[in-house]
Amino acid sequence: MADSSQYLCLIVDQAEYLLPSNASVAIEQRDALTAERGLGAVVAWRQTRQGRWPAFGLNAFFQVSRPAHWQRAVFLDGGTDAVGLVADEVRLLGRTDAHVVPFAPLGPPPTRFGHLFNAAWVDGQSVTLVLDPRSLVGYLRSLGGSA
Amino acid sequence: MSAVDDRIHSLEIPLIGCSLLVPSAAVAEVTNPTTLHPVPGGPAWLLGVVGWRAQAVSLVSFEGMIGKAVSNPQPTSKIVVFYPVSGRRAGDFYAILSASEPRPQSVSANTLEIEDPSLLPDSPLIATGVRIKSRSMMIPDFDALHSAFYP
Repeated sequence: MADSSQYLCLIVDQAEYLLPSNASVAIEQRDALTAERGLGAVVAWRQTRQGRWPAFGLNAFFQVSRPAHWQRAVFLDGGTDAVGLVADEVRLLGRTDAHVVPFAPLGPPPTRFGHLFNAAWVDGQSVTLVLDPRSLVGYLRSLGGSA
Repeated sequence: MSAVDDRIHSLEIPLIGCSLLVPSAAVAEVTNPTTLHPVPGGPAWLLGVVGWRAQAVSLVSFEGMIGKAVSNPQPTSKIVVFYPVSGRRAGDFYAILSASEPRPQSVSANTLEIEDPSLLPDSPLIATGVRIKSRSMMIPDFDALHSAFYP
């Protein structure tokens, strides 16, 4: 069954992933964020009136990383505060561009919030995994970096 | 009246250092290796996903699942796509990496012997072992496979 939702395409450590666009509360350019110079999991902060939102860096294995060449951060609705993921690039796909089907990763969930992916866009032999926003938010929050 | 035909059409799937024997009815297709997309956070035995018939199909190393070294696609490899395990969504196909082209086997009680269990890997994923024409093959436990895939 095809899904007609709109998706953001994120490039993280040179790999493409999709994220339902309605999970994003903000997309910021790198220049608009405050860099975090420490060695922790937070790469940058977005300043808001209520406080600041952390943005995290991940590598291709979705382990904490401090990527050098990221350009944007996508912030996801995390209830009280948003939490962000930095990406090499972020672009919005057209509503008819991605035909997404359900996908259940095999094996035990890698986080206590469940699997990081819950669908996939299959275009011929090419597969782009779709991030599960709830699991991703839980996972990013577990990395620390409270405002 | 003819005698009941107890032959089971099966497929021998060559792995690294061993073989699997599965009913042909469990197999949807055997294909050539194609672009493999990694699944971050997946277990080591999950080699990645491939695009097949508009589905994302997980490719696993059965050797890795039973505690041996994880196999990786080679020029001689094949991808054996299986129908979903019982109780799963119709699109939940999965695939096992075969070291080479699988071989059809017509199996009956007269053509096989039960393998000495002590010669089999100690894994719940192996239901039993059989010996056909002096070749040893493992029969997977599909219920255990279901539990490993969807714990």
